[in-house]
Amino acid sequence: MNTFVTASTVAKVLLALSVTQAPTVAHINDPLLQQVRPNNRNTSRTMFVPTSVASATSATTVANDYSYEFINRTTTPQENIIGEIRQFNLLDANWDGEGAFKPKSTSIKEAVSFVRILDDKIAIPDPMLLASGNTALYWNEGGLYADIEFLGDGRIAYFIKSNGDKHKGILTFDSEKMPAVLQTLIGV
Amino acid sequence: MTQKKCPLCSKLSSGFRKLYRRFFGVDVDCQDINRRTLDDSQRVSGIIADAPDCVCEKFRMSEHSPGVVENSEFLARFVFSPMHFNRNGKLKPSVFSHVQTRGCSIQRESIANNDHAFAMVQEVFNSNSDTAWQGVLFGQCGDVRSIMVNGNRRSICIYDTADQENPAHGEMCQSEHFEEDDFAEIRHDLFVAFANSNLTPPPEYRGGAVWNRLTSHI
Repeated sequence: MNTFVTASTVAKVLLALSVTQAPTVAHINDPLLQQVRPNNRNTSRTMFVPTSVASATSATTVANDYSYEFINRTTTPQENIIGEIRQFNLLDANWDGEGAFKPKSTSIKEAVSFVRILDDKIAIPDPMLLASGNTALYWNEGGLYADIEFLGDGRIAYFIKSNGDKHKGILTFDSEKMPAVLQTLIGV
Repeated sequence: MTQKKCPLCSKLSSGFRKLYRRFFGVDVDCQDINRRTLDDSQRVSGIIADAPDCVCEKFRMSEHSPGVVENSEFLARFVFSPMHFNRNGKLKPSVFSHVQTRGCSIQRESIANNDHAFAMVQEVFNSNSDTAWQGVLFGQCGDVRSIMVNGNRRSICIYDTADQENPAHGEMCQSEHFEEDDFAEIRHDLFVAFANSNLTPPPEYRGGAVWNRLTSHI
């Protein structure tokens, strides 16, 4: 009896081994493998540039078959602000404990677009989240007070007080071009 | 490309509403409005629809209120969310943005005692455990009520929206529907009215009485 059971079990195992396929693991292409982020990066953001276009000042070279070089640079103030604004997406309704609305993704996108095209000469604003869920940018130093709210429908509402003069209005914003009036008023 | 507004239309509309109420003796039940809009995320719009132009400032909005808010009273705005501060720890005018939506909570300092303040802070903590009491801003009711939009339109109403645990509770709400750029100006004016938003730290508020009681509960 024991001999029969043992033989039967062995037969089942052999059958199972012959039928079962190898574990299904998707093949990872080499170009994807070599894009794993390095541990010894110098900045919070590293650009991958093929060697053919990389400049002579580029630093480290990656191993594997593909040669890429990193351009090491510090994160710009604009990128820091953009990161801060995008974090609003992680918040839920009542983020302030007083019943504020959930941050509006459309307003966040508009604010990010605006910061991206901010002139380097313009002071960096503080991102601001309003109870309505809209994102705004805020300046308050050196005689300039500015509050620019992104309404999430392609419009911007602004109030700017500069050297005692007050300006306000509602503008359309196409996410690519800085409205001239704001460029002038904030850039003062 | 600034969009044209119609201030004349708004004035006419407001004027007609006032005349209508005066001639037809339409009365408003402010306590009923307060109860009905209490849990409304757009509570301010509800109040404006039923009682525009700060009508309910003249009546008690809550049975728990000791009386309407007087111009001489000092108001305390408690700040909880760290989102209202920039990287350098400076306050942003977003702290007043609730005047547009749910109503911006304030404490009436002349009425409030330490128990009321403690109850209010606890209520916010229970609502969202991610918040922390950052400090208190002070402003005078008369200064806030004198904030005008476009030179001649009152922008903020202050109501006595007391509750049983906190009879000193009040709210600042917009007086009518404004354009979005007017809101940005109102945020600025509130920021200035509350002593340019200089924050009193919790351990200094009321000699630390509320703070000490809170920390003893932790």
